[in-house]
Parts: sequence; structure tokens; C-alpha cells
Amino acid sequence: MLISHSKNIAWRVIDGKAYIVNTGTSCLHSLDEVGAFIWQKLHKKCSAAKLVDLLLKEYDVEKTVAADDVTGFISELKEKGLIEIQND
Amino acid sequence: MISPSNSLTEAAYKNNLPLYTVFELTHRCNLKCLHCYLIKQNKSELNTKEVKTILDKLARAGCLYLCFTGGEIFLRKDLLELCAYARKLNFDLRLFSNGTLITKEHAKMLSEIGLSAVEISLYGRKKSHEQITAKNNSFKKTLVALKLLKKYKVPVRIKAPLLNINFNDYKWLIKFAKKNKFEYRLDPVLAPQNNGDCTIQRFQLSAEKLKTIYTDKKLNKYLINQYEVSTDVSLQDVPDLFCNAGKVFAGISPQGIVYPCLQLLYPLGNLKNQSFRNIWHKSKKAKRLRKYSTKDCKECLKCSNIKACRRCPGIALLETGKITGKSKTACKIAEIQSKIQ
Repeated sequence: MLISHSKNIAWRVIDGKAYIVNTGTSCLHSLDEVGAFIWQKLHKKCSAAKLVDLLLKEYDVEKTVAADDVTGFISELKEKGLIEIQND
Repeated sequence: MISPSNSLTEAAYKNNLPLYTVFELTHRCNLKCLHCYLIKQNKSELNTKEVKTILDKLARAGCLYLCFTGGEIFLRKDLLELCAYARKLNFDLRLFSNGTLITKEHAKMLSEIGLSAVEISLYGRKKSHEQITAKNNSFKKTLVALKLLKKYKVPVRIKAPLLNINFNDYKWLIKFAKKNKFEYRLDPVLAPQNNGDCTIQRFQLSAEKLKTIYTDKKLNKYLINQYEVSTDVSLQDVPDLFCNAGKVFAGISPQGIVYPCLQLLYPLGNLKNQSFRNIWHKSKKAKRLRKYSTKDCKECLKCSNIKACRRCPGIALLETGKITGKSKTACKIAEIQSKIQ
């Protein structure tokens, strides 16, 4: 499974937070610092496992917690139409 | 919990980010609209590479919402290339156009590029529309563009200034927009020309017609009774007589000149030879502009209609030569707004 930004989004990272517009709905979403960290990695296609690895390198967090967080985060972004998921 | 929108606005104000930027790509136009504020000039425009360099600078400076306007932007051969480039830089992109040059290929490409909207100037039915554009057949061409954009699912907003020429068409415009599921924005405020010539204002609606507009609940909310009006005028509860221009709003001319807003012709610098940071964050002019506040508008402070005032500092500058001046246009509207309340 490869994850990347949706086509119809616009975004900036300001003061550590990511602000993302779904240009189809004009809805603005924001992500905190950790969310913004993951978000920027999705500029290119990336797997969930890779995201977990990147989180572990950057933050002091248990692997199981990071994996759960990534799963929840991906599901949330998908629901908001901000990412595309491709099967390998 | 703070909403994403409030959080972004707060961050943009705190850092003076040009969150909203309107970029004039050209002053050339194929129409001669009666109310147009641009002055015909033969100055050279930024080339493709220069525009792209400026877009890079804007993205780095924190601009999120970008609008390309003109003139008529479809006169630029590189327009689609610039749109695609802006989207690659993750801008939320909107275009302003009269629609007359939009082809099927443009509509297809714009759909692929992914815009937040194309805002098309449509002034009313054929007779009023072409009386304003001064061009035969322009109504038909604009309607064709609207159909194409709709077909290829490009979001559309119809926009029109309301003049004494098209006043009787405004209900038709609303009906047309609703029927086609287009957003619409109608505005009765006419700006003087960029050289300060106010003769355009002979097309402004009469007080009676303005009253009709401001009391019509079908019109956009932003036009109607924006401020609660009170006869108790004290400084702490009057509206801010300055706007976001130069704070979180920027304008860029076809020559690369940065303005606080394209309506506020107070040049801050030129992106052809200066960095955005030096112009926006370090220049004395930008800093001075941000210090202006309601209390500097001495004449307005005495006005009993101040609480209904939607003064535009740019129009005030053009009308009076002073950014803090008393704008006749704003006074007329504030007087009507006060009476409606």
C-alpha cells in the first residue's frame, strides 16, 4: 500500500503546523507538528511501514504506538480526501 | 479548540505572511469594460521564467491562496504552464477571467490542473453585458466558456460589479447562477481608475438602488449589514478602518511590483530585483503601512456612520491622495447601511 497526497489539495507548513485545503470542498484542515512531519513525507509515495520507521527515527515513541498512530492518521486523511492510497 | 481557519489566520497575522496574494499577469485585455480601473500602458510584462521565480518566492513566504488576474489572463500564451507550475508549488489557485478566450482544451487542462475556481465576469443579459464590455458577441463567448467549464467540472463563480447599466439584471444573474450551480458574487462598489480618475463612478448605483441591493436577502451575506450600527461612537467598538492589505494580503503587478493589495497602489518594492523578504518584512514602507489604524482617520472618527463604514484604504488613497482620507464611495454606502439598520 502506497500513500501520497491527493491531487486536489493545496497546503503550507506554518509555525510547524500543516494547513491543507481540499480544493474540491474548500475545506481547510490543520495538522499538529507530528502530523505535519508525516504529511511532508507524503509528498512522494510512501508506505505505512516507512512512515512508522520515519516516526521512530524522529520521535521517542514505542513501535506499536507509532504503528497505531500511523494507521489512525492515514484513515483520517483518507476520510477527508487529502490522500490517495494505491495498492502495491 | 481553535478552528483550522482561525489558527491559520492567527499564524498569518503573527508572522505577516502574504497568505492571500493576487497576481496580475497582464494588463492587456480584449474587452474595454466601462468600469475597468486599469490604465492602458505599454509596459513590458514579466516573462514565464520571471513569473515562476516569483511563485517560488511566494510559496517560500507562506502564501497559500493565490489568484491570477489581469487584464485578460488567457491572452498570455503561457497561462496553463503557469497554472500547472503554481499547483506544483501547492498553491490554492483561482483565476479571474472574462471567459471569452477559453476553449475546450483550456477547460480540459484546467480540470486536470485542479483549481479552486475560475471566476468569470458576467454582467447580465446580452444587452447589458455587451453595453459594459463594449464588445459585440462577448456575451455568447462568455456563456460558451461557462458551459465548457461546467462540462469539465471546473468550479465556477460568476462575478459582476453592479452598475446603473446592469442593475435590472442582478436578479437574472442570481437565477442564472443558481440554475447552473455556480457560486456568484455581486458587488456595487466601483473603484476609481488607477490614476485617480473618478469618472467611472458615474456608473455607480443611486442611493435608492444601493438600498435595494443591501436589503435583498438573496444577495451574498457579505454585502448586507456587515456591521451592527450604533449611534454610540467610541473608538474601542468601531470597525477597523484598515484592512488586511499589506498584513496577510498582497498584490503583484505584471511588472513584479509588490503592493499591499492591487487596490492599494502603495508600491513596496519589485520582485525582479529584490527578495520578497526584503520587500515584505524589512521595508520601511511596509512597516509604516501596518502601523496605520482607525485613530489615524481623523475625519472619519467624527462621522456618525462610522460603525457601518466599509472603507477601502486603496479607494481612499485614489480619491483623496491620502491613505487615511475620507472616501466618498465608503461614505455613501455607510450612510445607506446606517439607515437600513
